[in-house]
Amino acid sequence: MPVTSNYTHPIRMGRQLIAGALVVLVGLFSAGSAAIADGEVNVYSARKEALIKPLLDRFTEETGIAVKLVTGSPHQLVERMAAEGRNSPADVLITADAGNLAHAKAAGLLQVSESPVLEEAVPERFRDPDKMWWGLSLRARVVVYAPDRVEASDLTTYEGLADPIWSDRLLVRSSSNVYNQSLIASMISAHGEQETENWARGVVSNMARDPKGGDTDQIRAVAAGEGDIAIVNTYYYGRLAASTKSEDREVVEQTRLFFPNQDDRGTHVNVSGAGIAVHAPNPDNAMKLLEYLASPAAQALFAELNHEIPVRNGVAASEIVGAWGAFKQDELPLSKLGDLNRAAIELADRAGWR
Amino acid sequence: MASAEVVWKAPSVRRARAKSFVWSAGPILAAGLVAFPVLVVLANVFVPATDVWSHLANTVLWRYIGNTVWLVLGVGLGTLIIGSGTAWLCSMCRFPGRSVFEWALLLPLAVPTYAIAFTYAGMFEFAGPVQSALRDWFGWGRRDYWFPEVRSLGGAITVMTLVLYPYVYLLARAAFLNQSVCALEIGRTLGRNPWQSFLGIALPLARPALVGGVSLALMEALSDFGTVQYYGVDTFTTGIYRTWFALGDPSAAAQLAATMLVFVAALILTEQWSRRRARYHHTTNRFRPLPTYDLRGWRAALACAACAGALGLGFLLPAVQLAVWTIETWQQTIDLRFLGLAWNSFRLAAMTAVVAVIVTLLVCYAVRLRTNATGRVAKRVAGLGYAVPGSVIAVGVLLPFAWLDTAIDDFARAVFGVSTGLLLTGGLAALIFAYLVRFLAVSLNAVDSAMAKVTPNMDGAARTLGAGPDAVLWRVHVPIIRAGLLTAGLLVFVDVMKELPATLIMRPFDFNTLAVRAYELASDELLAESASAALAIVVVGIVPVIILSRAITRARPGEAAGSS
Amino acid sequence: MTEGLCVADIRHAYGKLHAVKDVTLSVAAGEIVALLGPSGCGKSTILRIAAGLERIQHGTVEIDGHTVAEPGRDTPPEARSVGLMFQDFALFPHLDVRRNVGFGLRGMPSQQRDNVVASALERIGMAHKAGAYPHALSGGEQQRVALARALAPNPKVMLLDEPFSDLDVVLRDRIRETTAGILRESGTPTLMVTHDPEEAMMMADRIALMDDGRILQEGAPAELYRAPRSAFCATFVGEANALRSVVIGESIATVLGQVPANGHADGASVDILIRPEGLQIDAENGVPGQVKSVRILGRSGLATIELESGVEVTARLFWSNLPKEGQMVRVSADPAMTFVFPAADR
Repeated sequence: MPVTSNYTHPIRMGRQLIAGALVVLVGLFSAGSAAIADGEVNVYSARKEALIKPLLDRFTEETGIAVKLVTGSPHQLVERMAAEGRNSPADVLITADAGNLAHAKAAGLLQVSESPVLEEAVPERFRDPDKMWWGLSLRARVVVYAPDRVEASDLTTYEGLADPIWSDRLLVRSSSNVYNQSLIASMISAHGEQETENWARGVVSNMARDPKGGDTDQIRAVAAGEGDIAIVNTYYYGRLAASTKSEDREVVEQTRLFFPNQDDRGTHVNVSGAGIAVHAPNPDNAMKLLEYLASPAAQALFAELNHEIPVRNGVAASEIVGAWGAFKQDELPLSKLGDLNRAAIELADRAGWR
Repeated sequence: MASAEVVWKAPSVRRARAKSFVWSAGPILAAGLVAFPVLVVLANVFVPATDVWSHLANTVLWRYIGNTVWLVLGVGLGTLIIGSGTAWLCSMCRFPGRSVFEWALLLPLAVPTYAIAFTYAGMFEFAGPVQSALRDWFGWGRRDYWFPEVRSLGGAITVMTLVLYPYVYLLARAAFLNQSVCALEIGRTLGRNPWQSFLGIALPLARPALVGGVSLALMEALSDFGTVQYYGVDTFTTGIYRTWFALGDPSAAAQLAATMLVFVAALILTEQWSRRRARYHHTTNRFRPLPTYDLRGWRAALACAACAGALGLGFLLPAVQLAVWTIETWQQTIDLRFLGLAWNSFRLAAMTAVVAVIVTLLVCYAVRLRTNATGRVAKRVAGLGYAVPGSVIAVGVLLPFAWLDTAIDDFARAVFGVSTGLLLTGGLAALIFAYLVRFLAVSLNAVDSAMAKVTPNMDGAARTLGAGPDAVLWRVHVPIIRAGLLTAGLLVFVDVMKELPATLIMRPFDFNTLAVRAYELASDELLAESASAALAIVVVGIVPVIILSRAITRARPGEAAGSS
Repeated sequence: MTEGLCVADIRHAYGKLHAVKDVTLSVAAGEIVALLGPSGCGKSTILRIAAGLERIQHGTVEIDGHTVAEPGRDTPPEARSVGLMFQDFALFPHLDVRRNVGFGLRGMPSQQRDNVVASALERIGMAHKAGAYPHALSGGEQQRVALARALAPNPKVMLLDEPFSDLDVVLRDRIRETTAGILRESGTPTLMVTHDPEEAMMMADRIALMDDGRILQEGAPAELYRAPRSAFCATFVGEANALRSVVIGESIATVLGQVPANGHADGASVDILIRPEGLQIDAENGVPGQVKSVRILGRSGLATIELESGVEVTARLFWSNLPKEGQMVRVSADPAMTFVFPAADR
């Protein structure tokens, strides 16, 4: 049936549209699929790309094993692994705290990884007793203060932060943040729920403003005078100190770092760690990656990249972190933090810690 | 049967019947598919309530509700006033700069809500440059002065209003331009000034469009996570995240989400209801150029200032701050891989836009062909995804996809002894599907309102003239609603460019986008470093936004036909 | 092969509303049939079923002897070869006049199509506007383009849905005439739906009068006018004076005198309808009354007369017979213009 040109322009337009759409679809639809072949390892990482990619690149350089990476929030990565089930391409799950590793373990998403190398490198309290996950780098939850407005001797312990002398002076981020949840969990472990809830209420009533922003924001606010003390993680402070921007370094100059509870159980620490997925398609390479991350070279990189504290004994911290000196760490096994996580959140809700 | 007498023949009856069946089933099925993840989320409502509920009710639930209600009211009112006001000025009045404002007022659409939130906080918080400068100049201490707290409910309402008003502007302007000149001229002969005819005639006539625009803005505000979390405002969405991911209770979280969806459904029903009452096609087929009011003196200055204010606060200020940060950090952040991110963002957005427009067109047309309740309901539910927070949608998409993959794998293993692995999950197809679920409401809205301009009799006329359902679509609908399709595609494009949570969880290995980069750095408290990616989103988004604005100007009936 | 359209036993319900209750109707080649009735009587539904725009629920539709619709088996409209014209004309706004008219000619060689379009435009006198877009046309021009568009593919049946009601009164008469001319010239069997009896009478060879989903009477316009089968038919197609009375024996006593009972049973309550032109000044046998008002309508006029009984009646009288206001006259009814029906419940 002949189709002629002069009256068909809308149809021609329609066909062109379809053809164009198909070309766009086919042309653009080339996505990288998961690595299942030998010589590869697939990583689900809750550590941000910028904070893990350099380590993975170095691993590839040294072993020739290619690494495929997806980053995301730990909860979502765990949801994704659970949904993908037996076919999940994930070999290794990396998180920035112990609680979420414990959660993945409880969900049956991790497997036992027997490795003398890891056992030697990672101290016992920084790893799962069932060898399902391993801590890789440490961060401490500390107090930053403005020396011109705070007597250093007034700072003692986390417990002391609930003291009315800090009224309208304390800055801390939301309890939605896992670092605060871990801190509350460690308090529950030390004092029980009731006492911890009273403490949390004290902290809330001392707040200079409603919790908002991240740790860096709290440090900046101390320097600017919005509050006098702030509860933050060490590496944020280290990062500011190492910044190329002069205003960041000024913030550090106007503030000091304090390690709480040095006279009793020690400062609360948490780890960034990793475990091997239960359905890992490349378990051998996954193990190689874990062992690499615990190696002295990689541990030094953790320290250098993000001013975290290596879990491995004998690996030096970064120059900035090293300058703060050694400090006593809370000996609480980190696996406990995961167990108490939910209780910590509910407690924060009750205490009005947003 | 090509005898000399037979000059043409009607389409075969059997083929026509088959086509008719495909039309009745296919697109409804598509709508159902898109609606499915929302239903997966809603299905949790039937899981018995856990003790988390009593915990929530005793502690935080009322704060979630209160904040959410205020947010909805604030953003609703704010976008309505700014959006309809600037739309009126730019469609009906003449004043200096109008030709620029006409398209520029849409630019905030290209700015991700989280980006404007970061920039405003960075500029106006206590430790930011503005307040620090004030303290330096006047020697004030912390308690010596009052300054509005950016990171607050009010701040969240403000920044959301500033980037979401273009939805109202967009639809209101299209409505004003389409309005019958007669009504406005009558208004004029009755001695109404521009202000009176705006309030008395144009606004009531444009009500369906205004409700549509405001409900889009509200759905986006409801599903927002980045801004409210950063500003420390607990809303339903932050509550859903906290309950699902931190408390580890998906069913209670989904029940929260379902509660919110009921709220949204109420919003949508309101919109439907208001549209039904105002279901008038154009009463006249003739159009003349719109009469415009010449503004002079202080009136012109005021109009100019109002538009400049919306544009400046919603686009220029955040864009300049992003640019400043980008200049500070470009050496660390911009490299060759950055181009890859931009390309990924662009192609995802482009693909989704194309797919969304096609799916929307087919669904809207099929529902029009067969006006049965199933189709309408499927379409409605498919549009609900816009109000559901991205992460929740992502999980809703992930579960059925992974289930399907596993089923296929089981089958392949049992029958062929081969494992197929994950065919869909973790691929771009699943990601684009998630975008569809999330953003179909945007294109449905645009295509629906465009299709309403094609009267049912045009379909009837075309059908009896020998055009089958698909020919009617291509030869009648598509050319008439071209501008509406373009609008739908570009809105989806811009939304996908900005989308984050679903991208984060659904993307394939080693596949990053600008939004992911911006988010990763920003959530790692490297705001300045995140600026280059956010700025790139804005820059890539500007082009479609400008095309969009031009398309609307030209879509005035009569003028469009005359130029085709 | 029977040429033309035949719809049989059509029943149609929208939910619980029974719009059409058993309608059978046929339109032969060269014939224009009007489906006349008040709005909501189901006439448009029949048109839509015939066109295939509405699925058939009961009955059949045949075009040129082929069944195109029976329950569960609808031939889609595009395969029926019907031409359809709407009240709002439904011209495609994105196509100019030429392309609108050529819309239904897809698949025809282009040379031939150009010729068909050109001659169609010629016939409706729109050749000079071939490049114009619908929004630039007047209502009458739009109507003609719509007609040409529907006729261009040479459909087997033409269906017109209230085709003139959107037009100015001034235009209407002329356009009706042209349209009827064009339709007759083409010889296409045409079914026209209208609520306007004058329009139906003027254009149709045959009228099917519908109410409440049924055809009440079918026949030539004159037949409907002169021999209505019910009070509804009588009043719908033309004006009438309505009287009520009771049959006594063979006749009925009315305020206008005795009227034959025409078979209505003794004692039955009846409505008597008398067309205005059925009333005449009759000095001998008439009933006395006083003229209340007189309206002159060209060669005839309407006189309202109050009878002795106080009942007012309207008579259409030739101008030379028109009385003056206030004048006393005697009037009588012409039995040929007087219709008796069983009394309807009011």
